Amino acid sequence: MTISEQDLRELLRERSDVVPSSPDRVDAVKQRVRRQRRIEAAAVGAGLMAALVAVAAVVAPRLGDASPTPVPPATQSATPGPQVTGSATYDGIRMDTSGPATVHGTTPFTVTVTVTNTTPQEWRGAVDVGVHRPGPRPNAADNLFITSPAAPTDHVDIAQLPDGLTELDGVRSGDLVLAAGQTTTVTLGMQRATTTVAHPDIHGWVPWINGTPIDSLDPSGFSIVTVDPRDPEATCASFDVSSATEKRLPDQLLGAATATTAAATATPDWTEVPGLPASFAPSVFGADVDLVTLIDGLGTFGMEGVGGASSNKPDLTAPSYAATFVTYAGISPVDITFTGTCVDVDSTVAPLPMSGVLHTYRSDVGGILDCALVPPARSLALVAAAYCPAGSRARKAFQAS
Amino acid sequence: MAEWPEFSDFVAVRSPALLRTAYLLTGNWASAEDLLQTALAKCWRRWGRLADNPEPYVHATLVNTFLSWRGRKWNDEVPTGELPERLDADPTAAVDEREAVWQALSRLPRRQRAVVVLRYFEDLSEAETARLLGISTGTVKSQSSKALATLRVDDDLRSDRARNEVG
Repeated sequence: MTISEQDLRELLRERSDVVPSSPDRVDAVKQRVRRQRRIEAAAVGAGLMAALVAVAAVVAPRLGDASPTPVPPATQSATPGPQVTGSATYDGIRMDTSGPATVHGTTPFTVTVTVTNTTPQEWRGAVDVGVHRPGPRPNAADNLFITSPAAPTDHVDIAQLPDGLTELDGVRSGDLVLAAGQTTTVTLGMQRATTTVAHPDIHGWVPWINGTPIDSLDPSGFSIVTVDPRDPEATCASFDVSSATEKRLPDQLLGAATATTAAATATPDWTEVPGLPASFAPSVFGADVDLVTLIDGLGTFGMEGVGGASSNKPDLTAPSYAATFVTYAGISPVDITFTGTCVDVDSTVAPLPMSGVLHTYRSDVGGILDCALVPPARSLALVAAAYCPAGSRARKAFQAS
Repeated sequence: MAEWPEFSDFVAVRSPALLRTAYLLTGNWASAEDLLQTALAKCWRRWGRLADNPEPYVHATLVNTFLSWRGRKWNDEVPTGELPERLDADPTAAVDEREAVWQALSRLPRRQRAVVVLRYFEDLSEAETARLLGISTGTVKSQSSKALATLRVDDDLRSDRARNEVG
């Protein structure tokens, strides 16, 4: 049998034939929108600061000119018109950015970003460069696209700004790994889709440090269980994390598990195991603390962030041999000690010094357990072993633990 | 937060089809639901401007979100370490070739996979696929061709096919 186009069509239809239902999808989407707005309230503020820096770098020298600098007509060169340059520093990562001030039509253009790691440790991440331009994106085809094969990049749909009149759109570098003190230059090529009429003027560039991908900043499930001593929904002007402690067993909690007995000849049929707790988040509040700062703060403790706790299970890799498996996912409680200048929600008083402990959790602990094997001591797998068949080695280890 | 009754109606009616596409893009239902909700959340914010025909915008947002998605980081615990050798069964001997094709699809680069789904599941023309992905029709052709070629030379498929031929 060869793989014909018709085979592909049949396979794709067959695989997507049975669609699971999700009656709560609308509510889930609305919840995401609310959470994203909280993030953007913090993130866009930082982005706009960078844009202002970039624009100011161009505008400031001109303020002293007796006559305005004429803007040359647009050309079809790769980087037309006057150049915008600027720089910004996030968390010790300095970025110097340059690119055209205006772009018209479908002219391709490039933005150059010089990234310097000024921190004493290795930095891993990516760099986004957003185009700050007027007007909402009129249609889906109105994207900016990568043109530079030399720099593997992703398209990034960054955000529509809260005023509803401007939008950030941009591109992302490939993964960068910078040793302490190392500098590298990234050239990001962009081009408007040919279906559009013209580029509006670009207001400036927003360089963006992306230590974790933007999509994973979605704090789905992020919760502050308790905040002592103030209102859990406080908004903080400053937020400094002095310690973050991730608890391991026995405080880790199992949140999802499925089991299957896979035959080598069949596609495994994973089923939910009975008896799991209905929810492992005691209560969920809105988290209007400065989340970006919070995540940055956590980074200094070697943690990538918090949140994402849900019933998500690990990607299920089809076992390649016959056995009984349990997939599992859980959370690890995290205590974050902080000081900040915060104000309670809806309060009209000025922000006040505030300190306390946030009790939250991270959820990226999971795996697939072979019930014929003994899980490591003090691992979440050992908890998941409770769902292995009676008499199996894993189940016995759980009972003995 | 503004309420859009049409949004709820749209989600109720069009979600199954969109979820299918999301599933074929991501390869599993959990990620598909995540992708769909992410795309819908993006569209919600512009719903008032999408007028009478939001479907193309939602559709494009779904695909473009997938292309820009790096996925959630998953700090896998590996409780089993090295899995023991099993002598009682050849792990791939009886794997269905369609399953092998499905697995091979998951190894395709994202853009190629998107082209495959749009061309061969949604039956979009090359021009429609190009417009949605914001690439030229030539690129659609080359990506599609590369995807099919990759599937045909995928090691797993090749070995599977060889076994079938021998058997």
